[in-house]
Amino acid sequence: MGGGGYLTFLQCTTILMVTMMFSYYIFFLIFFFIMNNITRSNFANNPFHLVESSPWPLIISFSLFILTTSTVMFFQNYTYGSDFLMIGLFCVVSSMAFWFRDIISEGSYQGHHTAAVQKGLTLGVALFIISEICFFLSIFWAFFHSALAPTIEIGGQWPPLGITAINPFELPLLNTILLLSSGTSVTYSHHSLIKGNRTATLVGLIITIILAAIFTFFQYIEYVTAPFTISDGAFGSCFYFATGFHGIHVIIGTIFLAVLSLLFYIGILLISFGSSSLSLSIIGDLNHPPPHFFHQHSIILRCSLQRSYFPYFSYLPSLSFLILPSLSYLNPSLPLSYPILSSLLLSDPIFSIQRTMGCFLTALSLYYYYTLSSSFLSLTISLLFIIIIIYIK
Amino acid sequence: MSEQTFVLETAGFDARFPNQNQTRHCFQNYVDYYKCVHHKGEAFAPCRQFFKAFHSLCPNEWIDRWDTQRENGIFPARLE
Repeated sequence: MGGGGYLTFLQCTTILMVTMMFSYYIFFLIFFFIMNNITRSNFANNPFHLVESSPWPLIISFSLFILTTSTVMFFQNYTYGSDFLMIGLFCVVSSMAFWFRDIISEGSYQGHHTAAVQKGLTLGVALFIISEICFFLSIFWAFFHSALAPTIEIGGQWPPLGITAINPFELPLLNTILLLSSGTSVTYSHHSLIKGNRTATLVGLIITIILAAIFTFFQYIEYVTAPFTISDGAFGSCFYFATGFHGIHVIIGTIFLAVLSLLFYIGILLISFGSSSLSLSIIGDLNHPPPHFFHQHSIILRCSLQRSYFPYFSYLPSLSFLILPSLSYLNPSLPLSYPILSSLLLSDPIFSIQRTMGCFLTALSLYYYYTLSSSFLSLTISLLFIIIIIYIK
Repeated sequence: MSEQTFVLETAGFDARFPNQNQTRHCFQNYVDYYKCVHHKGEAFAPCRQFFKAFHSLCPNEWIDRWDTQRENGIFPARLE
């Protein structure tokens, strides 16, 4: 299960993540009518967003439970551990997708993201970044604690006896140069955007993504050829803790910039009067673009050229349930019709009864397929889908 | 009753380890003794100074544990 499962797991998660992100961000086109303050004031005499009840926090917490326990199962080589990990990842990504879908709806279509709310969102992103800084600070603290005064248990020396450290002036130096260069290219892109140079913005973003991808590849090479593992004492722990979390942040950032550059290329405006998406909070300059770039009339012109297919495209992500047929390899004796039928029913954009039946059938098929192994986990997954049923009604 | 005088000595002050935590002092003397023995042989008299120092400073459990590690080849410092 370990060797063959690896490639499938990686393919599925990559495809899932990319599909989920793209299907949401590409197909949400700006509507004719944009909420403005005058209209909004007919409904609320305060500029703040009083959120409606949402099931996604609860659902995502169940999904995170599935993800964490299945990760442990995978690492400890439990049967079907990698498959449950796939499900866990799928559940978390789907929950994120549904939650972001609601946020986009609240912002771009319901007009809740007023200037006051946007201030709060920007502050939220800043606080999150500060928490990430604290996290990396802890990693560096751990390293310096162990390395500056090495204990007698590791021989009073650093690197400890028996560890052949990687020469920092070989591949790691190249990686550092790659990342610093990608920093300069993204700054070039940023300033080009401010100046209104569209081509330069895109070129800068593409260069950044290429450099980051090369870095990731070289870091993979370093991992594969490293003479020590994460379990090799304090040295191994510090090394893989720091480079591992750093690497995952680089990968997330690369995907982020790739999606953003694609959207920028297509011409989808992430900012309007009631905009909502996450990128706005980070790319703060878009809030106050120079007048010649985002001219008032040109915004209206772009809007009028784009028809809204919102009511239909919003259900596109539910087609991701088509991943369920891949479960069939686990238990070939069970009929494939269960997952296929459930995913088709789930993706019905109009009839809620069909969707309800789809959820139920999905839960049932998952339960049947996984009763061979950890049934507790499959029950949790079924419970998750039942909660989704209650929400979708 | 025969009169026997015992001379009791502890390890002297070592400026390399001025603080209360004397762990490194003990460990360093242990390592230095076995390095001395490795290079000069057990009969070499000055090596006794390190021996007396670490037997004075180190808890006996540590000495036993390190001896076991040395026998198994997993002692964490270089003794050559």
